[in-house]
Amino acid sequence: MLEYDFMRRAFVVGTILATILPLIGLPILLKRLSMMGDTLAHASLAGVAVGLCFGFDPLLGSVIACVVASLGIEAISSRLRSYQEISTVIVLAASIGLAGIFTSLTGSSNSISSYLFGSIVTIGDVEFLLVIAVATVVLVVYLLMRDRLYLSVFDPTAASLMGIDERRLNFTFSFLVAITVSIAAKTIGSLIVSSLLVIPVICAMQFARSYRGTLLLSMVLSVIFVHVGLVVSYYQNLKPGSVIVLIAVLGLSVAMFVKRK
Amino acid sequence: MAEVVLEISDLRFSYEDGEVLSGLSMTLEEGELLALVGENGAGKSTLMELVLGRVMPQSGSLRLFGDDISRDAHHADVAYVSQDALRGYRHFPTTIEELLRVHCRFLGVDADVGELLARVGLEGHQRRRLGELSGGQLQRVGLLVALLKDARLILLDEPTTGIDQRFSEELYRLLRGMANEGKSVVLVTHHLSEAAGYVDRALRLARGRLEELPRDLWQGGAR
Repeated sequence: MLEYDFMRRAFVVGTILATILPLIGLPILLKRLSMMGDTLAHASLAGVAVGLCFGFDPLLGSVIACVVASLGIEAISSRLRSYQEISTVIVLAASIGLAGIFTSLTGSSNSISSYLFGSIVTIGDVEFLLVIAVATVVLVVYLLMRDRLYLSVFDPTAASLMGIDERRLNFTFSFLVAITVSIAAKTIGSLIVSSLLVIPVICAMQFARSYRGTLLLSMVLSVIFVHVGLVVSYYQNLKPGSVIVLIAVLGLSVAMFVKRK
Repeated sequence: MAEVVLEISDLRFSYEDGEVLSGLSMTLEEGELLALVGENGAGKSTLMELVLGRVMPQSGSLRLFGDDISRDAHHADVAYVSQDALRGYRHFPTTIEELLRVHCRFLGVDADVGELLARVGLEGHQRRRLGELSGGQLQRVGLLVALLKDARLILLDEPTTGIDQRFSEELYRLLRGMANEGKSVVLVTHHLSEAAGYVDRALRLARGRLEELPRDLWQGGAR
C-alpha cells in the first residue's frame, strides 16, 4: 500500500487534517455551534459550483464561499443573540440553494461529486501545498489565541470584561473554521468533514479530564480514525472519506459503551 | 470624600414588550457594599447588563469611574459573577487547576493555585473537573475566577443561590473585607436578611425605579 506515492500522500494529508480539525472542533462543540461545520461544508460546495460555472479554481471558490459564509453566520448571530443557532440554519439554506443552482448551470457533476465525498487519494501538488499552508496558519493562529479562545468559550461575558475583543476573536476563529473546512471538504468530502470535526472530540470528552487533555486525545483519536479508514478503504476499494467517518462513528459508539460500563 | 464609582441618573430602558427601567437613579461609592433586591422580572439583570455595557439605555446617563458608558467602554475594572455562566461551567471540560492557571496566565497574576482555592474553601480540589462539583462549589469557583482580576467594581447576581448557609456567611465576610479594602460591590440577592449584617445599603428595584430601604428594615450594616 505505501509503495504508492498517492497513498503516502493521502496518509500525510490525512494526518495533517486529523491533527488540526479537533483544534477547531472543540471550541465549536463547546460554543454549541456543531451545525457550523456542516453549514460551511455546504457553503464550500456552493463555492465549488460557482468556481466551475465561472471558470476559476473550484478550491479557491470553496475557500471564498466558506469565509463569506462564516462571516455571514457571525453577523447574523450577533444580531440574533437569543437564537444564535438560527444563523447557521439561514446560511445553510442559502448555501444549499446556491450549490443546487450553480451545479445545474455547470452541467458537470463529476467535479461536484469529488467534493461531496472527497478525493484524498488524488491530491495534486498545489492542493498538497495548500493543505500544509492552511494547517500551518491554523496551528500558529490557534497557539497565539489559545488562552483567549479558552476564556471566551468558558464565559464570553467574563472574557470581554477581561479586555478580550470578542468580535475580533470570533472573526479570527470563524476565518480559521472557514479555511479548515474548505480544504478538508476537498480532501475528505464536504458531506463528511463536519462529522470529523466533532466526533473525535466527543470521544475524547468521555475520558479526558482537562481541556488540554481533551484536545490531545481527540487529535490522537482523529489520526487513528483517518489511518484506519485509509487502510480499510484501500483494501476494500471504497471511498476513503465515507470509510473514515464510519470508523469515527464506530469509535464513538465503543467510547460511549465503555464509558457507560 | 470617597470616589463615586457608579453614577446613574434618570436611566430609561425598554424591551419591545414594555419599559423595564423608568427614570432610575443611583450612586455607588468606593468601598461600598450595596444589596440590590427586587421581584423576579423587576429589571435587576437588565440593570447589570446596562452597567456591563452589553445593552444601551434609551435615555439617561450611566457613568462608570467618571466616564460616560458607551459600547466601547473598557470594563477592565469590573468583575461579574452571573447565574447563567455558572450553569454553563458544568459542561466545560476542564479541571479547576487548568481553569485557574489559564486565567492567571492571561491576567499576569502570579499565584499559587492551592492558596487561591483555600481562599474559597476548596483546598485539595485542584484535579477535580468542573462537572464533578456541586452547585455551591461551582459558585465559589466562579467567584474566585472573577476576583482574580482584582477589579474595583464587583457585580454579583445572586451568588448564594444553591449554596449552604455556612459558605454564604463566608462569602459575605469575603465581600465585606473587599469593600473595607476599597472595592465597591453590588450584590443582587433574594436573601437580604442573610446579608444584612454585612451590607452598607439596600436598594429595592420596583416599577422601574430604585428606592432605598430604611436601615431598620434590614437590621443595619456592620463594617
